[in-house]
Amino acid sequence: MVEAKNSQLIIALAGSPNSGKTSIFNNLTGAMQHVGNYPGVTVEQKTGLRKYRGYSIKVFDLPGTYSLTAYTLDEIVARNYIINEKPDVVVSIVDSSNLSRNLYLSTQLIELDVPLVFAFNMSDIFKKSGTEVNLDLLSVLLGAPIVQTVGSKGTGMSELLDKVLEVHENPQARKRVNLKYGDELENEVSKIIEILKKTQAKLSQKFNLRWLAIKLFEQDREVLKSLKVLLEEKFYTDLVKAAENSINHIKNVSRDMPETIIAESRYGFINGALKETLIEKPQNEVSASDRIDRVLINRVFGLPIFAIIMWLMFQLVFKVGDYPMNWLALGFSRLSQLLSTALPAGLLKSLLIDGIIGGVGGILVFTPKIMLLFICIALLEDSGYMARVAFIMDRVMHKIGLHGKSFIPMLIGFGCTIPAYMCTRTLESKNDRMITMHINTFMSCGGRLPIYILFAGIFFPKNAGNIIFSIYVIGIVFAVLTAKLLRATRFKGEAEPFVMELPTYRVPTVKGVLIHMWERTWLYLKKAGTIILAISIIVWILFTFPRIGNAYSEGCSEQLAVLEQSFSLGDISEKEYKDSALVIEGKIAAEKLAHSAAGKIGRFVEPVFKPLGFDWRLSLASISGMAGKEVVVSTMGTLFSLTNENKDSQSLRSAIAGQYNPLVGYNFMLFSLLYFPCIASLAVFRKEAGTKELLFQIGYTLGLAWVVSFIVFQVGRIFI
Amino acid sequence: MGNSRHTIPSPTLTLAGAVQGRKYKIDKIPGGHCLNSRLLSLGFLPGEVILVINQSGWGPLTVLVKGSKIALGRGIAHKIPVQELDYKSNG
Repeated sequence: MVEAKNSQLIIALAGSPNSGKTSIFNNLTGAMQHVGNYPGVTVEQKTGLRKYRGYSIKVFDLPGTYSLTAYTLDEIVARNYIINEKPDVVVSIVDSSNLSRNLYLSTQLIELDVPLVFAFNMSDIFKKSGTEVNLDLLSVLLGAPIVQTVGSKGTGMSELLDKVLEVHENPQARKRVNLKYGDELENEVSKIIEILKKTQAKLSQKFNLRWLAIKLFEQDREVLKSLKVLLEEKFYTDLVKAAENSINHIKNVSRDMPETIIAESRYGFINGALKETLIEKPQNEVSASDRIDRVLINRVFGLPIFAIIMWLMFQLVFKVGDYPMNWLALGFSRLSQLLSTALPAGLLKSLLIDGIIGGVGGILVFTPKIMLLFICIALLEDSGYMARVAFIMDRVMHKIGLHGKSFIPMLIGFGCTIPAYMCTRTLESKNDRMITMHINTFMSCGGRLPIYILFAGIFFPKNAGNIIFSIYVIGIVFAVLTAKLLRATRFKGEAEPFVMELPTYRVPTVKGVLIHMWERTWLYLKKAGTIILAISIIVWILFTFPRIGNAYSEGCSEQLAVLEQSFSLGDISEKEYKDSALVIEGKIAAEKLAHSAAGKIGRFVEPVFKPLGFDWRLSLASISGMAGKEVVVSTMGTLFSLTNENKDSQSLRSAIAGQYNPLVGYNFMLFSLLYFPCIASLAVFRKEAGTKELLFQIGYTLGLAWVVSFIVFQVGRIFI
Repeated sequence: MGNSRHTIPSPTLTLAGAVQGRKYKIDKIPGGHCLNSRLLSLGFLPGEVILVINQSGWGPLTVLVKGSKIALGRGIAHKIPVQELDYKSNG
């Protein structure tokens, strides 16, 4: 069978976390990747395209899981994808230096009876260990071809694709391997298969019946759920009853749960295969990773070292990031100057300069810092340190009723809250997940950073770094308090047990880190180019219309003309003239704003924000910030750019400095920290947690932000 | 450190009471579907020999199971009964 050229092929990559799956995905697809839009898509999926030997191969990166049970969302997503979408070939990626554990997931792919190819990844490390393996024999035993790969270097990719095509083109050559679960269990399995065969529903078209039987013995919630839908009611109850009888029978005979026996059989199968094919060299008991861990997760030094790493990260982002940020700011202000001389005065000029450059440019300026932050997070993730952070923080997290694993989404939340919400999928317990999601709001995301940089830079120029750090710390404090509160009230019960792999430390690859960083930065830029652009224009319209009546502006023009005349006649000095002219121009601008729709909205909501020390401008900025915290800065930009004739980059800063005091500045940062991150994050929140939790999240964070800012302002006022 | 039970001559030890650097054999995997499955998928099986890498007496500990390093919370370590292997054979 020779496939026609340009035929489509869909492959899925399955592998445990830390198996190097992502690096293989990156190498296979290169730049042709697509990360599914977060809101609106049912499942976050990374897909990529690869042209190879006339095939157009669509590569799906499944979530990294250790198993295909139904205990975490990631597992369900990965499994449902394979069952429902039926990819042409599944590539099972395993860490060659840890075959027995990694092949556990592969045994479950074998059980699913899908066309398989094995990628034995990190084969360079494996070869260095001196262990020898008979790949031909192992591939016979596992029933699928094996390709050795080094994901970090891109070795073995074309061999891998060759094998994928070979498996796809020769379906008749596929060997089926049946895992055996021991006589007792096999008897029961056959019984259940017999029952399953009797149903009217065409189960065997969708499922492998043997796999279904195994899942029934594992009491798999998802499988039970879908069977309940597919089967006739009576049949379903009988089936469940029969499965229960079998489970009880097995429990009686072997004093172990069927689940344990099944797992033992899978490992037994792996061990059997490896015993025949692997000649292992005795390894050093203490690996390099262990030596690093002696320091990094040391009970005394672990936490301080983590704190230092965090501090360094912030210094890098803020100090080093300043340079490119200033270059960009300079560039944008040059662009404004250029446009303002080139364009005739009018609405178009105002839209371009005040609306778009003031708004979108104001956001793009922060891109270098956001990139640096994402690079740092990618480094922490790819080096393996992130898992250690969970370990170190477990003790601390325990005190707030969570465990160490919940800390990872929180750390990612410093970058962007949306992937952080996604990351909570690795938590098994629903309560833990809900609490972690609710408190993630307080892990200050990259979108809020521009606000801090702007306000801290203006009001605390000497200690901007420390001030911003304090905001982050306050966020953590509120996360802790909220977690305690939620655990005590809405999500009672104990935290799920903490079990987590600490992967071997690896030197992150430049490519991997850059791709990681770029994926997230791209979301930021896309937001700037779409939502924020749209909002900037809307904000500009709100600020510009309705325009003030001619009478008023004419009146002012007359005043100006009179002033000019007296200056030219020498009645007043140049300084007097300039000052008076500024006052009049300021009056026009203020009148324009007061008259505009934005001004009216600002003043309408001002009473709500007044007790926090915010005037109508800050109120308006906060409201527009619901669309995305970056918008706060762009709105301020448009706002002050419109009222200011002087359009250099310093003008926004000095205008804000003149308008507010440091207390209000700090309080505004606090307020921005505490209410929910953005509308996009709320959409994801709703999808992951439901409408009820969403409403709680909105109400709680808005309420908290108001109350805290109220207290800070009212108390702070006494001292100032 | 282990919780001793008076009826059995050798005290029942759990992983929480294990000593850093020694090897233990797992007796039983605690119930509870979710936990059970998680442990099994990471290589914790009845009869499996594990090495305690890092144990400071409080907070989580790390063990070597099937060639990977796994961190375990103290709560769950208390629920995994183990037997100590003759530790001279270690290394």
